[in-house]
Amino acid sequence: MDVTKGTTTVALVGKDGVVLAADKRASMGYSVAHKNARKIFQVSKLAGATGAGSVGDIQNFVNLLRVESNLYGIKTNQDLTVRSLATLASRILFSQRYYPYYALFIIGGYDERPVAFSLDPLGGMNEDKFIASGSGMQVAYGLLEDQYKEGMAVKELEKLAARCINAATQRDLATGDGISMAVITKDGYRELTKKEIEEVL
Amino acid sequence: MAFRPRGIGYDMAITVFSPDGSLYQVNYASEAVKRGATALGVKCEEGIVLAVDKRIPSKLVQPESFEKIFQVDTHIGTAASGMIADARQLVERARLEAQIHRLTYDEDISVALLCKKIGDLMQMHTQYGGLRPFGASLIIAGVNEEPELFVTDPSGGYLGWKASAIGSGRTSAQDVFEAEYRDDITMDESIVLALKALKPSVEALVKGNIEMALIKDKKFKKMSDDEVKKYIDQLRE
Repeated sequence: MDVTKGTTTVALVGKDGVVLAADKRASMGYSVAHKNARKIFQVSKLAGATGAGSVGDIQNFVNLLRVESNLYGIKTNQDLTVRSLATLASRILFSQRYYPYYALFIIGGYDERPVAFSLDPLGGMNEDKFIASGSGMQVAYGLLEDQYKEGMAVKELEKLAARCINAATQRDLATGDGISMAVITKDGYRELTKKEIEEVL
Repeated sequence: MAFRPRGIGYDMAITVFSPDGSLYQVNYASEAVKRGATALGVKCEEGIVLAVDKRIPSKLVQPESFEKIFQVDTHIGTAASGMIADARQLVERARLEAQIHRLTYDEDISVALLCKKIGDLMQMHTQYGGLRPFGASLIIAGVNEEPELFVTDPSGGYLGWKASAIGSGRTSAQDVFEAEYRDDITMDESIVLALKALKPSVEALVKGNIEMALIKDKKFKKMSDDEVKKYIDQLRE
């Protein structure tokens, strides 16, 4: 099962926030199925997720996480932390071991500090400072291993994330059709407008 | 039940209301708690104090062979009154729920949420056929950000308290709390206050007869008999 096909997404942890970025191409084999696909999702007030893989699985899984996050908030009167959200996601993925969600996820957000977790289809969970996933991940990692430094500001990370997606667009068949980006700081989740992304580039 | 006097026969099934709107089996379960040995809890800024009367039935019984204060998780403990065998089942569930929460969310369960889960279980035992209510109440206390203390009853209801007692000595203990509890009480003072509130309903306030536990720095810890004795002596002075 090769689930790395179809997308490039990255999550970069900085000094004051997390940047999530992805391309917009949804591919089906050698065709482009969609040119404006959503691959970055808000899950809760301070958490977002990216998905690479089966579109249906990603959308349903993110909806499930939103429901769990809302229920937790209502039942306990406190927000589900990003770490707890990622742990929960990992449990759900593992519970579907024999009928797995066909996707790779990154969950990023703000607890006491910015955090990001990568999740594989069987529930493997790893916290990291920079994460790339999808078919263009090797291209993105090439850039990140050279350029990423701990404690970078969100403004710098936006630029680096955009360059990652750009590089993958150039060298990966299944990546392309533009960039979408979201930034999560202690103040909340915000998606960059088309104009803002153009300015970053 | 058409030809029976009003209110008779409604205690046969737990799921049948009496005409005045009560579930007799639930009331009877509360009665079991009222006759149980006294258990109490005091909340202070530093944490929680739990104390119970062990009510040792004979001097031939080994006092350390049974307990009425149970650790639920690292940061939560519970003191029970009523039918302790029933309470043990609730404690087992509480421990399980605490671990499930830890596994699912990688964090300590909140005392309020755990109490709600136990309350839900107790409520279920008042509404489904083939079950009977739990003949026990629990004082569920612990520390997340702040210390919290709840008391459940057999109907599944629960309330948060600053200091509360259950069991046969409830009234006398509650009187002591109402007279002497302060919001700025220290943990040392809380331990003495707990013993003072327990005193009227205990046969003898002596070593081995009282079981106590503290939740301090988010850690549950049983007090040794010698530690308890130290505070009993302090109360006597």
